[in-house]
Amino acid sequence: MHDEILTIDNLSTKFFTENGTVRAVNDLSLRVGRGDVFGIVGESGSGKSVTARSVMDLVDSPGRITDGSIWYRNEEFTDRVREDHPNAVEDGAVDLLELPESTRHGLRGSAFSMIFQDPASSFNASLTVGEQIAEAVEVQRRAHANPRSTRARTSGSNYSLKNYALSTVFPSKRFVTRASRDRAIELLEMVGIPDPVQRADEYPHEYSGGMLQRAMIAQALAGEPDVLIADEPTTALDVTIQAQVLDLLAELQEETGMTILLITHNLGVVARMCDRVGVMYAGEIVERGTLEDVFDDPVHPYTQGLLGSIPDLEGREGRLHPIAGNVPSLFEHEMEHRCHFADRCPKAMEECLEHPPEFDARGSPHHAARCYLAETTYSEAKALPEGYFSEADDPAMEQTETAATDGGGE
Amino acid sequence: MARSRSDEIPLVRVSELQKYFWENDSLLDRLLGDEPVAVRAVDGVSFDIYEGETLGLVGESGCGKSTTGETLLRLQEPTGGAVEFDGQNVYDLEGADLKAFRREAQAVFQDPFSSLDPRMTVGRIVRQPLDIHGVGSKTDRRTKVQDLLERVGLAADHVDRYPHEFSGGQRQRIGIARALALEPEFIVLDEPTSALDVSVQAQVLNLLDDLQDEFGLTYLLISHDLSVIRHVCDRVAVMYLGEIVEIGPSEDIFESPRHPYTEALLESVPRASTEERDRERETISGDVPSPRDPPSGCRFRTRCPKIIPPDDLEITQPEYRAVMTLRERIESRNITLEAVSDEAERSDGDLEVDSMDAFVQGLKTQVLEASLDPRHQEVVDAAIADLAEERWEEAEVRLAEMYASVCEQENPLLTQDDHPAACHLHDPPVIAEHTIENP
Ligand SMILES: Nc1ncnc2c1ncn2[C@@H]1O[C@H](COP(=O)(O)OP(=O)(O)OP(=O)(O)O)[C@@H](O)[C@H]1O
Ligand code: SF4
Ligand code: SF4
Ligand SMILES: [Mg+2]
Repeated sequence: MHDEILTIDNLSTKFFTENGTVRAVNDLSLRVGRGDVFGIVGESGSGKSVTARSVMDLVDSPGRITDGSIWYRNEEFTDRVREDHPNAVEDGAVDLLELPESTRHGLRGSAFSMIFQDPASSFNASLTVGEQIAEAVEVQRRAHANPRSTRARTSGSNYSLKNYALSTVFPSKRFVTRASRDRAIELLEMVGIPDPVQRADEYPHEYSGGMLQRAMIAQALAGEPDVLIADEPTTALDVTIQAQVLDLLAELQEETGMTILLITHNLGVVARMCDRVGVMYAGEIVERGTLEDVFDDPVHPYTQGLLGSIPDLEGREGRLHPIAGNVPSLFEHEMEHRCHFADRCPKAMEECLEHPPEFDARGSPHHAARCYLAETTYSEAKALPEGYFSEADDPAMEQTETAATDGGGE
Repeated sequence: MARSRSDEIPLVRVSELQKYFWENDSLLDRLLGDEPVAVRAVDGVSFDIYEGETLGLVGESGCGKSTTGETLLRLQEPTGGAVEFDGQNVYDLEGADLKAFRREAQAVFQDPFSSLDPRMTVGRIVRQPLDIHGVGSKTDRRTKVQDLLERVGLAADHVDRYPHEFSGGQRQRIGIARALALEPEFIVLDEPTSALDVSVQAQVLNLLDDLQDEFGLTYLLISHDLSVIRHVCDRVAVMYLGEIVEIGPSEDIFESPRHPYTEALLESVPRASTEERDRERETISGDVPSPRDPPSGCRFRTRCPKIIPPDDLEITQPEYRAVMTLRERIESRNITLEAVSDEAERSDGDLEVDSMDAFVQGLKTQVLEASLDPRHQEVVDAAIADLAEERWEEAEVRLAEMYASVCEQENPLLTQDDHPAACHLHDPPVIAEHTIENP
């Protein structure tokens, strides 16, 4: 498929901590179509953020990508790197992990941009919001990283003497030309900040949470990225503001045709926004497919469990159906070579003690699941005896922290 | 649990409860002559909680939910109003009576990670209330703690472990065990599952449900999550900026909301279903105003998509909303004029002749969210022309004369029926002509 802007193959990212190696992302593959909104959903600690950071090359020490490829398909970029890095190019796409760091980092902002749950973290408290967005604009202009940009034609005049003189008129904005500032104001307006001219001169703390989130989106869009990675972009917001920000993202996507990788633990947000979905559990994508595949016809018991745990806004049904237990330890030395969900799975069978590969599932051609039930039907005869896993370890607190087994939902 | 409430005596009766926090109120501030500013966190809320029921308190962050819960438990002193628990005013209690109240009314808080003392064993944490209130012998207490841990789904031999050894869901269970230790009648649950993953949240919600049945508990559940509220509560109160805007049986609130804010909240929640993408929904614009300076009249009027125009005015709702938002910004002087003047000068070259027109058009595209019918266009253009000469007050008056809404003049009261809502659409006030005053 050639309209895949981003293809991740067998990605593994590990953290080498004092207590052992954490397998945050393990053998993860996913394909994202150009212009799609792809959702990654999963519970806390499942590896969503580390996946996003791996794509952005933002994994901090002691973490490191240990395996896999991240293919980025953009003709101009491929042409640009073909000469210097022929090994990185295959079939018209570039494996980012085969590029030197400097080339990869050059993609930030122009090819890939990221927004976070906490907008305060991506702004400097002592500079005005306008300055910071203008700086992002400036960086992109200087890098000429995006020749497709319709704004590129103005870049010649940005460095004229006149603009330089103008920029020295505003001493606090010394790095910022008038053109960049204007563009920053335009971006603020585009994301729906009222009175952007005045707001550009305000500091981050003068913005409300929802407004700062919008400003962060404006900043991320400064380089007109191909792919926007949004990590829990509305989790810290109230529902009415969340609705505004989601609408904004959908509108911007429609206008610019950019691809969005949307990371969230909120299944409602996924349903509202996404064409495709990947469900993460213990560092793996355990099920993926179209929104319909995953929501209406899930194969993996974890996906089913997740959907069954959310209380319904539309009616007061009886009891909720929680998933027993908790997310497992991701320490390499504690992970067995079995299905990582087996200890919580109501349908665990003998074969599940062998780590399942990804199988095609029954829905659309995109539907796949890392579960034997995609191929076989469950039968009681093959079921693991009750308490199989709790015998091995005392249900109490065999492993500590993340590993603790919760008392079950009864 | 549909039974008639009218002849029952509530377990908790909250009347006109008010809690203001004062800013700029230090000695230094007073020396400097800074006026103290009131943050009106809770501004006169009233509701009853009946025995055995769960009342939900829902609203967005900062609307005063938690402050209501804490003040009601007398963890904070109110600045006004009263709370009766079992017929006694909570704020008058002293000595043994206060101690008894502290036993009967407990709380479970949001953050299972910080609400448990990390240096104490689980056993001590759960036993602490028993120690403080001197309940039973030492062995009694130990047995009691073990029973409680088992009851909330932990193991009795967890007593000697420390909180950091437990997952989030387990820590919340510890918090619940502690709250149950003194066999209370009433528990305030403040966002008890907000820090938990959905699958674990479901475990904890089921547990709370079981405990309520088993011990006949009464709950006040504070949450921003409407799905949780719907699942758990018998009745629901919706808060906005320190006030209750609607209260009633859960079913009624969710199936036939009466207050425009409740409607907006419900509309905004994305549903976890494949139909969600095509669901038409009306979102509201703008942010929650500051509780330091809440809007006059109805506090929701700055965002309300149903704000009521004067009787004799012909105007569509989008037009009216746009004009009202413009008025709001003029009244708070929240418009920058220089940029537009610059723009007008630049585009015209010469300032003189057409610059006023350019200014008006320029500013209008920036500050007006809808296009207007010529009649309204004219008034708004005139007001913007006032702004060009910085005659803010004249612009204000010009618009107020024509567009003042009942919603900005009178704070709507909760209706007196079995599904009260505080909105003029349901209780049209009679306004005398002369109350429309100039700002
Ligand atoms: N700097 C780090 N050092 C060690 N381990 C880390 C580090 N960052 C992440 N991890 C581990 O990697 C795993 C995946 O974490 P990640 O942040 O991707 O989860 P997530 O799915 O984004 O969760 P959440 O929903 O809570 O944001 C976790 O076990 C986490 O503890
Ligand atoms: S592979 Fe087995 S244990 Fe794992 S989810 Fe599927 S059925 Fe359950
Ligand atoms: S009183 Fe007016 S502004 Fe307030 S909610 Fe009702 S219609 Fe809207
Ligand atoms: Mg994360």
